[in-house]
Amino acid sequence: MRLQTRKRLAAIGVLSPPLLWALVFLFIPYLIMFTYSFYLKKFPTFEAAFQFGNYAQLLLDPQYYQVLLRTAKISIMVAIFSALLGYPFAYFLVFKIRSNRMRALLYMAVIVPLWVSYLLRAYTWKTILGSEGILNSFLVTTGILDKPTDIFLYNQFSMVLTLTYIYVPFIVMPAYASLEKIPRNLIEASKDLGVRPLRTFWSITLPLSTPGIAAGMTISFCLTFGDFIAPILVGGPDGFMIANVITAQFGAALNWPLGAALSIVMLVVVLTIISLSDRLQRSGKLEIA
Amino acid sequence: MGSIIQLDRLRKTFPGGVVAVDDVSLDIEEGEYVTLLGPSGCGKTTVLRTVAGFESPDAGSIYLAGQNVTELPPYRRQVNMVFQDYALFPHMTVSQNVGYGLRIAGMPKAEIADKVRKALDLVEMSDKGERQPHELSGGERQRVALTRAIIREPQVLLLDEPLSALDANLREAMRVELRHLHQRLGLTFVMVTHDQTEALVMSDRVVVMEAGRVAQSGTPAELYDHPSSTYVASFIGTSNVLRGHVAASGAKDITINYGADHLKAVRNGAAYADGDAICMTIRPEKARLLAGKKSDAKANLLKGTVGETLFHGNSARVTVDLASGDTFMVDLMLPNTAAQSDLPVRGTAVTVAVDPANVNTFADEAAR
Repeated sequence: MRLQTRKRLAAIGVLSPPLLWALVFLFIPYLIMFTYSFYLKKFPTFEAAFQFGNYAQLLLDPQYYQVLLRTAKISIMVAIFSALLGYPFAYFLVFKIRSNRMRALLYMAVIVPLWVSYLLRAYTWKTILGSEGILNSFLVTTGILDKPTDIFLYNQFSMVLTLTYIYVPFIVMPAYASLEKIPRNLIEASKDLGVRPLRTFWSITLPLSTPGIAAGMTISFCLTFGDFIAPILVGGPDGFMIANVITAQFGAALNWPLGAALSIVMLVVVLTIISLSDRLQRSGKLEIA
Repeated sequence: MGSIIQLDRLRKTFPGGVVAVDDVSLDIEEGEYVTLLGPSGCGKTTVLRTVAGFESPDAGSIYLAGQNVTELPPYRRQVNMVFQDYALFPHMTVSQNVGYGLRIAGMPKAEIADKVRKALDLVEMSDKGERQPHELSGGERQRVALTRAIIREPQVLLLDEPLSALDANLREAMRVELRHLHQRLGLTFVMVTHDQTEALVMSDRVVVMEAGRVAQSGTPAELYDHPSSTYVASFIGTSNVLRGHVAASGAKDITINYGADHLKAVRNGAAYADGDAICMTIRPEKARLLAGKKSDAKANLLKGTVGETLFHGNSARVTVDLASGDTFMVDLMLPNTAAQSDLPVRGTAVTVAVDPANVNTFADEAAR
């Protein structure tokens, strides 16, 4: 056997299990779902067809496109707030903490909650924000309020708060990595050229850590976009998101074709965001020369 | 011309108790090319970084053109630095890198463009203004870093091992280029290096550092001909080090007991008492071999036998095993009339001749 052929066979041997996995558990299911999205609903089941009724319904029925818009709005807010909290923290860790042990400790403090069940973490906010919750009892005992209020929970505010809390680590990690990679002498060079610390941050540190921020914001946006637990736990009626609607279509509403169409739309949105962010990160991927 | 930089008893200790700079005082004249030379960890880079403002000293002061700048942050000091690995901003083009400081300072765009072009012209890089740093070769990056550092017309240019990242050929070319740039700009250059050749070739004055202190400071020739310690003698070039005791000191020269021999050395200003332990350093190329029965009345003569002979092409280094037990290196220049076969053979009895003027002396620190 020629060396070339042997190498090729070896490559196929190594690559086939993951490829097979991706094929069976990713591509084929997506393909099935894609096909379903063109099916026609005929209560109580549906029949094979090729028509764009489901997509038309999504775009024309306010019930659906409003959920899509709301989901996008909440996801964007979560991404922004996570970045506003996570980036300064990462910056602080990398540039202001002198002791290595302290830095590792604080970094772990951000990461450790990821080991706790997602459900538990979301539930925590319910016990904080609820009408019997910690925040309310504090406000009542201190006399700021005379009776508990329910404005903290079951709205978009509580959803954004909860999801931001959950996704902050996903910003801290890539932001930390990209900040740590910036050679210190670039910052020194900037100061050496007469530029004050704040301007140095804007002109050097921030642009060079953009890939990390973009990666983190993409992760928190995409994870929020597909989230369906937080809306149930802390969301309330105006906090319903696209994933909840999809669940309902495959469940109680028994409208698989519409659910499939919604899933495809969601997939397209997420893939678009990921590829845009990837392009941004690539353009910002700087060979530190 | 007065001094542009004055370091007054500068001291810097790093966390963990390492004394990086230990009581360093230094005056640097305007327009001088001064090199801080020493092995890694001798504190030379810390001194440079303290002048730039990246490190603040524990004690002592720094004066820049007469003004005390010890407490000033780096962005308010009129000095600029060329970093060891250039520290070019990777997200900016060459022109943007060079014009960065001016742009932030609010200079009009047209004026910046003009200045940047002229500055890049100076280093023959004007056609590469739109390149990204990672598209440049090492030598080109070096020039961009230089241009960026001099465009703000600093009072002093600091260079941190500027040539260490270049390959050997380029390094040699850049030595000359830096030297020319210094002459053309008339700026004060302060360079840090661990490369003695670089220091000797490029500088007006070399400051040799040892463990946070200034071991010796002087022109390259002074350091080469009259090192004041075995450390300096061995750090710059190669030396034969012989130890002896002062037998008598006259007005012009001193006599030294070395084994059974009496050697003469020209006085160099230091005062010795009779019996003092003394070190003599003699450069290999400043000693001669006397063949056969020849003698030289004016020179110090040391008898021995030829050990190893290393042929270098234009010269040869001969090791002589002296009667005292020391080995002594002699460099022979090989004119075109001499062939490799003319070199002394191992075991031959020879006499090494050294003129008293070429015997450098200092008090023996090992005996102190």
